[in-house]
Amino acid sequence: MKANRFIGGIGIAFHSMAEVISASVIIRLVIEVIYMQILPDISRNDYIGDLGDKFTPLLLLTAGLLSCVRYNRLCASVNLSPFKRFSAVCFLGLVTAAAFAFFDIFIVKEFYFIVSPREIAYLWTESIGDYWKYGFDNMFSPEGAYFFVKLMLFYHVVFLTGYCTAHILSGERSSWRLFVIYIEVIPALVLALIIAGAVGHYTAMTAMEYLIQICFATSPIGIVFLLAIAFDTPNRICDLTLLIALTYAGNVCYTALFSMLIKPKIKRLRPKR
Amino acid sequence: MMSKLTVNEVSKSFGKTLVLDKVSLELEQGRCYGLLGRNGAGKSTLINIIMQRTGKKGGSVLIDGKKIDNNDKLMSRIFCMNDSAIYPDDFRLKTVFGITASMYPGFDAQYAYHLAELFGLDLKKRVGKLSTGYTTIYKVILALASNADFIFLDEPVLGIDVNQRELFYKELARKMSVSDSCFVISTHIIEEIQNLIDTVILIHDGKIMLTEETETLVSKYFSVSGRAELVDEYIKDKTVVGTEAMSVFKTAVIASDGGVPDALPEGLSADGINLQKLFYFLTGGVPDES
Repeated sequence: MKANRFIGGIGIAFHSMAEVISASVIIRLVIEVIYMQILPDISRNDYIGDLGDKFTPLLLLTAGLLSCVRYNRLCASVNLSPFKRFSAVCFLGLVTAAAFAFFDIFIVKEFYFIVSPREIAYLWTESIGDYWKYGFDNMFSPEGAYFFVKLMLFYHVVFLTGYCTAHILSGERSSWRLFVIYIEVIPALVLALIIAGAVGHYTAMTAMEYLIQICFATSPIGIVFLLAIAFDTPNRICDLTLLIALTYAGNVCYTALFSMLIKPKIKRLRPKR
Repeated sequence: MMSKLTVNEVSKSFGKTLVLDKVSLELEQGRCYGLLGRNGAGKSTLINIIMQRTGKKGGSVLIDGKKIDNNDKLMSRIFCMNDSAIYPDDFRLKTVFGITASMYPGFDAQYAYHLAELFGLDLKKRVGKLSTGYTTIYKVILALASNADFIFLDEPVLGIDVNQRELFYKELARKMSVSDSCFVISTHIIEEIQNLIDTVILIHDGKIMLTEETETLVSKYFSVSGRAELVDEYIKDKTVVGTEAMSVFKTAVIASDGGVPDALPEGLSADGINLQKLFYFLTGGVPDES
């Protein structure tokens, strides 16, 4: 049988991350059950947008952080190239993000009428309020599917943020140029998005958004999104201005981190004996 | 056609310490190399650079003229067995074999199982439960069964008892005779690998000190032993690599194109020198206490 190293890489990612991700799923379920027990129906709306919907990003961020070292050790053992390593973890991250997005939208929302990511949604093309307007009765509606994809990409970014942060901090060699390119490219795309919005070119806006989503889906700068979410500003243009400012701040921080930490310290990979 | 792995003027420093200084070498498929050097000479760093496990300051690593940087196809042609190749402690050896098989096109699973049986390795055991010796053994098995074009063995007998060491050398010799792989062995137990390696690559202070055929190298030196004053008198006009004194006796290692001389002054004896002893003298011996 011919060995396919990309599929092998996904297998390795699964082997090294399965425990952490399974634990995250269990914790998320437990949190949900606890909330269902302790929150009366009337306070469910307060729960929306408060602590409840912040658990998944937090869990995924932690899962990404925890699974990085184990995965990298395995990849080093089989001499997988940095690019394939990252592609494999992106793929598995996407599957994980899809599972969590499915849980948050279709299980939590549909069955308990709780919408998880209110703050997250307004960062994308339409706010959650718009989704309410469309109605969300059919979970397989185009709107539902659209929202699902967006949420999945966001969760993917969060997971990869955790992974990349751990990767950078571990000091192991990586294709860091790839990350730097993203860090430089994303602010430019966001700027183009703002300009397209200002002149009312909605097709360009959508195209830019998709480009940003693709970039974010493979970049460590998603942490900036988490920061942006913390500022609950209602105006989308304000959000985007804030986002671009934070992205640039993130850019500076990450560049500084790269220059300080990118030097490989292979000794850290030595086994504990 | 036999492939070549070329290391071209590679440098590496940790902080202000220059570990490798413009190192260049060429490894050919079908040959066995001994990568020798003292602790901290830069052997493992060089291997880690070839494996892309650490960055480099300059230079390049190529296979058949193509840079291996981020080239997974070329990287799959190299296998390295060393202590930074670590599988998680909770993995069973069977899983480890399976993962390696999925990543190396030429991995011979049957041969791996055969070797495991030969070495008495229980494949149901978890990596974390293995002794130091068996941890080395399972990595050696992976390396031998990988059938990669370039196989690096960094300290392949670490913690292995003498019986299993002999078994390993026997299997390695058998493997070398039937495969086209290039083996690079880095070890401090030089005496045991002398008969296996075709070429010696000696790294000293981050530089390649010499690259030479093993037989040619050892034939260029001989040792003279006897009373110190007689030895001192004899080596006056010779190229001395090193000396070692013990009580009133002395041994000197001398470089000579003619090999061991037939005639010597009375009271002196000459002999050939093995690779380990030669390595000892070439790399400075031990500091003189006096």
